[in-house]
Amino acid sequence: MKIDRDTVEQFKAGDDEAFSRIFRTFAPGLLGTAIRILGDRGLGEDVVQETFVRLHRMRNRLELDRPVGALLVRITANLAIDALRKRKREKWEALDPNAAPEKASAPPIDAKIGTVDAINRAAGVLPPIYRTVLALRYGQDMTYEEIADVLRISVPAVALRLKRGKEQLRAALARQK
Amino acid sequence: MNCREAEELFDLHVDGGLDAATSRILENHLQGCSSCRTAHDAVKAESELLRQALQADLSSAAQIARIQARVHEGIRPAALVVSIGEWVMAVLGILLGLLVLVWGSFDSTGVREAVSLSLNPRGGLLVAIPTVLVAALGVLAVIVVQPLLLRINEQE
Repeated sequence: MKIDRDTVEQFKAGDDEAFSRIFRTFAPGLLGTAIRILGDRGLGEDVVQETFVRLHRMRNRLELDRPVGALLVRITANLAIDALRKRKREKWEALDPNAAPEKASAPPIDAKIGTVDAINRAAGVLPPIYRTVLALRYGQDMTYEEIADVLRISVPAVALRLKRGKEQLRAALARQK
Repeated sequence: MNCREAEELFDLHVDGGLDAATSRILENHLQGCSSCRTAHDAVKAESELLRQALQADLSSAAQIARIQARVHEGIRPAALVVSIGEWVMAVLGILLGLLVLVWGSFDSTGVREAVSLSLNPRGGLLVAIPTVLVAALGVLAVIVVQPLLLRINEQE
């Protein structure tokens, strides 16, 4: 998913059609990420709406050499995480580095149990800290460094969350088998 | 590196989170260990499955259209409030200020005198010239201030 430099330039110049092209290109993927982080479709829609309103407000400051897609993912992820932090029914808490991993480690997910629906269902009920890193790493192909930057945690902390998240996902899918 | 140590690194290696030196050591181990290679391939295949699943489109065309409409709503009112609301408020403020100014300056002479002086051709002119000048300055100020307000609003 890419938007060419001309489109960004037109958007900066106030072209509404260019803004619509950017919206149509990125909105579906961002919505998926927001829903996966938040576990809620309605809140996901709110986050994506706010993401594009913010992009529109900051259009004059956009740098043509920096990919607009990465910027949008960053805004969406930050908004979704802020929304999660505000929610009381799900705690967004720091990962305890001494917390025990899944006891009986399940084997890697294979195609038999790892259907698209099954993975999304299982990922959707993981604790927020895990489903967030999974959504950013696999859903948006972000690097460890990019995830660390967005979540304001260290790169080893990202690695640890991904590892634990995958262990929990494997265990959840193995139980469904 | 033994098989247990290698296995601990599979996730990091597949996800691109391993440094170059450790990656080389792991890759050397994988070349000589078929069981670890098989296990590593399984983790790699798992990553691909996760990517496919977590990149699957969860949106519908109706949902995207609804969000787009809301985005346009979110952008439009801000512009209207500034262009119409602020203009109206600014002009009303200027007119009110002028009214107070003109009324105040004649207050010592009483209401009737002030009205009759304003209606008098010479007195009316004395009031009209500063009124027009101040009003023009006010409108100019709005023309300059409004784009500044818009820019500040956009940068927030």
